[in-house]
Amino acid sequence: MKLTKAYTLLIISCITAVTFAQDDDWDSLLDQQLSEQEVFISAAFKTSRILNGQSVELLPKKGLDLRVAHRFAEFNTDESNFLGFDEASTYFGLYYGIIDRLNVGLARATYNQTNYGFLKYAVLRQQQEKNMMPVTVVFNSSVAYTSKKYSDQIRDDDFVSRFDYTFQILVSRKFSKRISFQITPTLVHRNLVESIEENNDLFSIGFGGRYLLVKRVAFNVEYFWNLNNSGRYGFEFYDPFAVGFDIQLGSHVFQLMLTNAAAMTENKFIGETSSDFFNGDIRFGFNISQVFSLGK
Amino acid sequence: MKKYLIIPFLLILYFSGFTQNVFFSKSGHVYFLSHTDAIDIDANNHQLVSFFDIESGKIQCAVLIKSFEFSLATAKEHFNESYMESGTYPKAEFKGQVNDLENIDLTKPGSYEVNIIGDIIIRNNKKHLETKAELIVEKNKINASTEFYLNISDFNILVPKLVDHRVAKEILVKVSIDYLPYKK
Repeated sequence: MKLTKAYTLLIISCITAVTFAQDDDWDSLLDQQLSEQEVFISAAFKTSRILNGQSVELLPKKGLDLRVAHRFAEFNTDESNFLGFDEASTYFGLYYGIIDRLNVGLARATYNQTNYGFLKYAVLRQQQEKNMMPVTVVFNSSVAYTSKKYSDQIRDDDFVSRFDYTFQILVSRKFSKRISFQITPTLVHRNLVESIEENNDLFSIGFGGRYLLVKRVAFNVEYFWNLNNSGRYGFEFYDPFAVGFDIQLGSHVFQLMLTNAAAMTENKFIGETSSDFFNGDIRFGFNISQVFSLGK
Repeated sequence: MKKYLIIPFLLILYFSGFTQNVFFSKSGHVYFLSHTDAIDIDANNHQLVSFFDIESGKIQCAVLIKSFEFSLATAKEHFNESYMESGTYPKAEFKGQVNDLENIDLTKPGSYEVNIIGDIIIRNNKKHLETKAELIVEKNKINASTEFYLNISDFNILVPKLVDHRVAKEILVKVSIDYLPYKK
């Protein structure tokens, strides 16, 4: 009897051993290994701007982005203005990827004849599910130098007063292949403001989202909620709002939008948008981006 | 009671026997090159995961599309978003078999030329693949390396007419995997 028991145990053990040894469900073991790898989620947005404001997208190392942007006059300014096409605020920029996490940019905007530069650094990058990094966090700081001539000689000579600074924390999450969202706490500091009603420090929270319609076309919405903006000499300022499409053709991205903001640098479009989108003061605008790769 | 002692002993023997057959790697290297007159686009991935059973010859590999790193920086996004659609099809797989194992004992150190046949699966398209490979066996370590060409049209990868001349029809793929004994 004892012997039988022993043999039974032995047989059971062997069967268990065999099943264990053949537990080579390689598919799931390999999948598990892959799911533990550090993979950054890419392309939350198609380009480095959502529409007006910066997005979390960064150029890879040695990537060079040549950007041209226009904002035309409001549709409702003048009947003979052909949907605002007769006037344009323009922007030329060159952005460069120093490393994958750090980008630098220089630009010139006709609005107040502004010279503009920024540094953008990715602090955290969203990873695939298992790695518990649900968001991308990018720090953006920009400086704008207003080079226009002031009629007041004292104002014109005051070099320091011409600088505005913007600090932003861009927090985004790509929820799915199609849907991404970004929230952007922003501080704009103006060294000198035009009127006594205005604050030197302006706080704003940006909200941006995209819905990828097809592989190469996305629909974007962007809104900046200004917390302490005020008017100037009795004229009100409004929160900048924009809706538009990203259209990707090869290494080009075309962004076509309707917005109330005429300026394209943060200090001005957040701080000095004088058109009211919801009153019909809407203008057409576009950004064109062409990305080159400078060497391998 | 002495009789019972044999059971755990047998078990250990059994397990150890099996685990030595199975080799594993999670840092396999994959390189690919798209060569055209206009431009060479190449990428490396050092995170291929693979199992290799040296007794049965069964071999299986998987790699994440997103972890390919390109020499040409801006190519990565196009590769993932437009061509491979890695959000929808995150991985590439190979499931196959090393042939001619009856003549070769992979427990003995040496260098062996073998044929591997199997299926490569990219973007849910399965393609039969036969390739020569070299196995270099050292003590408790095996390196497997191979190279082959893949036809992009086999995997339903659409290249816009505009950039047709910049993407090769046939992609050279080189794979090298350093296996160690698999420990559960």
